[in-house]
Parts: sequence; structure tokens; C-alpha cells
Amino acid sequence: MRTGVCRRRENQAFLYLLPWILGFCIFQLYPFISSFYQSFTDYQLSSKPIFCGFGNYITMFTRDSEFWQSLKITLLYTVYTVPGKLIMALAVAVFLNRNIRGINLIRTVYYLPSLFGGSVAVSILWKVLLMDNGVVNAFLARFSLPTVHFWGNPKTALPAICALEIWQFGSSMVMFLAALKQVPASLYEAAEIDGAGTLQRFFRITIPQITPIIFFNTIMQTIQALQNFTSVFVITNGGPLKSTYVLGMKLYKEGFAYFKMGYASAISWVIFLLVMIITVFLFRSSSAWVYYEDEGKF
Amino acid sequence: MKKIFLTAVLTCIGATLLFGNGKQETKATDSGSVQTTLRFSWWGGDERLAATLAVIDQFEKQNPGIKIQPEYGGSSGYTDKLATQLAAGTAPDIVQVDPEAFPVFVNSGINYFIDFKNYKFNFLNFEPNYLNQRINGCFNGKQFGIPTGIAGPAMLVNKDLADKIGIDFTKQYTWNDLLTWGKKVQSYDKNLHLLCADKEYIANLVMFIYAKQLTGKTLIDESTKTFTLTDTQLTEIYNFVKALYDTGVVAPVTHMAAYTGDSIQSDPDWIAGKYVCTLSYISTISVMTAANPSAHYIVGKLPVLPNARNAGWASNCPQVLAISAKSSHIDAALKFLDYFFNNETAMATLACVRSVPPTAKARAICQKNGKLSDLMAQSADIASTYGGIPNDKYSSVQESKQILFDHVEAVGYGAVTVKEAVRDTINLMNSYSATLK
Repeated sequence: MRTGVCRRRENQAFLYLLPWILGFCIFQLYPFISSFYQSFTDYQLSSKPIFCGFGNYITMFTRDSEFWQSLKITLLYTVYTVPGKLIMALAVAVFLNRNIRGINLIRTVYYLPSLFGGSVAVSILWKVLLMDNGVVNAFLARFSLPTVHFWGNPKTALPAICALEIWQFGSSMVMFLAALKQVPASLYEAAEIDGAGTLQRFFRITIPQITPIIFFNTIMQTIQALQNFTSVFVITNGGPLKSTYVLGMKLYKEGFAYFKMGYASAISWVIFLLVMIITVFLFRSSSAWVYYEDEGKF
Repeated sequence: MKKIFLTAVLTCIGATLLFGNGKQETKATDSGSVQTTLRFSWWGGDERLAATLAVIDQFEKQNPGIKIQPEYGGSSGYTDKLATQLAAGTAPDIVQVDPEAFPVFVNSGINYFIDFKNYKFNFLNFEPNYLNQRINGCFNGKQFGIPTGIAGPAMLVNKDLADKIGIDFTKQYTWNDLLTWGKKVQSYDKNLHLLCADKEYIANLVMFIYAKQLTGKTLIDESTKTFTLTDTQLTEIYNFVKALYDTGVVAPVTHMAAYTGDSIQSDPDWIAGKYVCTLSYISTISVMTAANPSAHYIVGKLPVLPNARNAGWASNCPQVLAISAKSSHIDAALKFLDYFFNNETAMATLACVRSVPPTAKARAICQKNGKLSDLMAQSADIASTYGGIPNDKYSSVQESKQILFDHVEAVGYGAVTVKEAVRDTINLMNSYSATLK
């Protein structure tokens, strides 16, 4: 039986949670529901929404070739950056998982880029670094090497954007570092006694032991990659030749340059569904490759 | 006790989130009179910022009961932000609007802006013929915007370099002359180019104008809402665009990719004086000349097709200022704009930061003060001599222009043939036109 004290405590708990609940409702739940409704309307930003059923989705999948190109670019971007980031993060975490002088400073230095996040300032910095008359090309010119049009060449623009994203591997690295420290030393000792080499220990002990963190990082980085926008908007604006025209850019152009808010809302929901499908796939596949000590039971 | 206190604090936070409103547009001043705060948004560079803030300061000193809160930034993303603000009802009281985007807002059927004629705004300093043009804020007899200046295209020429190579922009010439001169420049020095232009400038100032000269019509017919260019006509235009790249008239598209839109003056080759000329806008002449101040500039004539059906080149205004219909202080906003456009001190302060001033009185003041640069005055005179038809309101919106930008870029890269570019452009423009009906 719930006593008055219990009820009072529950009410107090609700009040403590109220600021978050209100913020969630206003800034997340309402836009979520509103964009879902708008995705079924022909809503020009300068006029009222007119219900059009699945019209936006039909147009997207059957008449908009630009959507398929954006989808392809987004998936390519995800395939390049997620493994690249995880491999870099793991490699550096393994390197930093040792007791040497100044290791804390080194760890901080490697973590710094991820503190900047996907910010405009970092994007501008990279844009200037890789411009035709930027630092990198000036360095190449010193050795009489030809100028590389990083941002002007459709073949190099997307890899350059991916490099910017991979460079910010710090947060994944920190998680890998924490996971590496959790691997029981006794396993390594036993393997060493059995004659296992460094690589064997790494692939047979380290990797299986940290698969939960690999799984977590894969999910988080994939979700982030599928929603990428800032670096592309600031540096290339989707070009050259739409080689960096990710779905985030397409959504922005449709909604805020062409004022087609209904269509942009439909694109946002397609991105959401894409993220959901890939996340569900990763969760389903996890039973085959993710090892939990407690076999995943809570 | 602690829990009760914490509970009370959190309840207040929750209530603030629900009911809090940070805006205080009017408040009592120390003397007891009511102070009105107006929000005024515009885009522009440092020169425009300084001049506009100075005018705001002058006005506030004369009208202590009115405070103007400036909201300024770059042009990139400005119209997108404004569209969102208008839709949400949170737009500033006074807004600067791109005249090519203005029709989208006016034709929406929603009254975003006031009709200045309903409030008997003092337009005595403005030439009626200039004010009555759609591009200058007049729609079906209603004046929704006030033009801030006289703008238009300008051929800005590095005279020293042009003379060295032997190119004369002061006599009338054709588009094909640009190709001939481009080859001449490349023979003189392979590192030089005739024309500084990115894909957007080529689309806006070459394709649009070439098309109007070729057909005598705008790209989209405003009455039938159909794309007016035929396969043959568009092929001629894209062949010309391709020739601009192939003959080295313009820099390679790989080079210009980093300097699109507002940053063309950042092209290091322009700064180093490696272009003979740039096809620009009157309002950006000062920006382009400031990037390479060591060169000696003139303005030249503009290219015209032989037997052109229309001159193509037309003057317009760089921006319009409008008052939001949802403003709570329309009278105060009108008072400010009256000062902005009709006060002689304001005219002298603003000078030519928004291109050549829109009124004869302001132009006379600027010329007397030496603020109206000869280059801008000459460009305005040259542009006005052509008297071409202005662009239609449908092809000048971003969605339509993007089709041309993308295909100019694709032709420049050699990613598509001219035939493919023509086919795709016609298909996309027809699809776009269909949405207008």
C-alpha cells in the first residue's frame, strides 16, 4: 500500500524531473510529431500546409534522382568514416594503454580534437588548410609537387571531409582506453604462458573482450555519420558536382533554400528510418560477434 | 525544509519554461515615457555595418523613446533564416530582403509585410517609375518594400592589364569577343585569365542575359509559367559556357570551387591581379577593388549578341527594406525608415554602402561629398543604357537557379556533354515549372 510519504516522494521526484520533461516535450517531442505531420503535407514555408498524403515520399523515391545520389553519398560517407574512426581510435587507445612518462598529457592531446566537435570553426580551419593556396599545398609546393585541389576535385572532396571526421576520434578513443583497462591481465598472462604472440593476444583476447565497446561506438558513430551536415555545409556546400551532397545537405536545401518544408520533413523521416534500420540490424547482428561476460543478462 | 525549498525552485523553473517571455519591446524609461525597441535585420560587410549603425545612432539621439536593436550578419543563409522567422512570426520589425526572394514571400498569400502606401510613407524623393517596378518592391500597385539603391551588372576591368594585352572594353562588343580575348590573354600568359567568374556568376550574369538576348524573353514566362528556351537555344548557351572553360576565358572550375558566392574576391588570383576583368554587380565593385587595391580599374560596356532581340542587361536594386506586418511598432518603424531614406544626414552617412543611392537627392549629396565613386556612378549609367527586361520572378528563385548552377558546374568539369546538360536542364526546368501551376 502506498503511503502518503511515498506519494509525496513521487510528486517531488516528478517536480525534479519537470524541467527536463518540459524541455523534452517542447524541443523534441513537439518538433518530432510536427515534422511527421508536415511530411504528409505540401508545405511551402511561405504558405499554409496542404495535406497531400504520401505525395512527398512518392516524389522522393520515384522522381527525385538527387535523393538517391544523396543517399549513396551518405552511405559512402558512413562506410568510410565509421570504420576509419574506430580503427584510428582503437589503434591510438592501444598505444596509449601503457605506463610511460607524460602519458596523461599525450592522452589529452589526442582527445582535444573531439572536444571541438563538428563545429563551424573546425570546418573553416580544415577548409583553409586544404585550399589551393592553403598550408598543405604550400607544403607540397616546397617539394615541387603539384597542387592538389582537395575541395575542387569531386574525387578528393568526400575523402577530405571524411578525414576531418576521422580526425575527431578522441571520444571513441577514450572509451576504448577505458575498455582496454578492464581486460583482465590474467588472460594475457595465461596466453603468454601458452606461447601466444602479441598479435594473437590482440585478436584472440583484446578484441573479443572489448566487443561491447566496439558495438557501442559503432552504433553511436554510425548515427552521427548518417546525420552529418556541418562540415559539408561550411566547406563544400554539397559540391563539387554534388560529390559531398549528403542527406543532411539535401534536407537543408529543400527546407531552407527552396522553402519546401513538407518535403524536407519527409527527408528527415527517411533519415530517421534509415538510422533505425541500421541500428536494428546492428543490434540483431550483435549476438554473433559481441561477447558479454554475463552473457548479456542483467 | 531543504526539500521544500528545492521543490519550490524547481516549480519556478518549470513555470518559467512554460510561461516565460524574454521579450520586452516597450518599457518605461527613467523619465516615465514609454521606450520602444525595434529590431532591424540586414546583411552586409563592415562598411555597411558601420554606416548603418551610425544612422541608427543618429536616429536614436533624435528620438530618445525609440531604440533600434540591430541584427546583422553575412548574406549566406540570411534569406533562409528570414523565411523561417517570417513563418514563425518572429521576424524583426524592419528587415532587409533580397529582391529576388521577395516575390516568394509576397505571392504566398500571407501578409508578411505592410503596404507602405496604406501608411502614406513619404516617397517624394523617389522617382515613381523606379519605385513602381516589381523588383523594387511594388506588387500590383502595393509598395511592400523600399529599394535601397540602384544596382545592376558591372564589367570591372583591370585597365593596366587590359591595355598591356590590347583589349578594349570601352567599345561595344559581343559574347564571342570574350572568347577571342580570352585566347589572347592565354597567349600573353598562360597563368592569366580574362574573366574572374564562378559557376553562380556564369549562370546569373552569362546564361540569364545571353538567353534574354537570344530569345527576347525571360527564362520562364510569367503568364504561362513555362520554360521558354528551346533545345537549340539552350545548346547554343551551354556551348558558350563550355567554350568559356575550354578556351581559358575563366579559371578552371576546380580552382573556382572554393570561391563561390560571396567569396569570389578571396580568389588569390584576383588578389594577385591575374584576371583582366570580372563580370560583377555594382554593389560589389568596392569589395572587388578593395581586394586588389594596387590595380587601376575602369568599368566597361557589357556584351551583347549581334541581332539581340532584347538588350538583356537591366538595372535593379540590391535590397529592399520592408516592415513586418506583425510588428507591434509599425509607426516607430515607419519613422525610422523615413529618417533612413529621406534625411540628408542619413543619406550622407549611408552614402553608397548599399550601392548607388536610390534617390537623386542622395546621389547628389554623395557626389558632392566624393562618396559616390566614379566606378559605381559609371556602372549605373552604363547598365541603365541597355534597358533590358528584368528577370522573371520564377526563374530567379534559388530552386530554379540551382539547376543552372549545377549544370554550369557539370559542363565545366566535363562531367556531362552539352547535349546531356541541355536535356537535363529542360527536364528539370519543366518539372519545376509544373509545380508553379
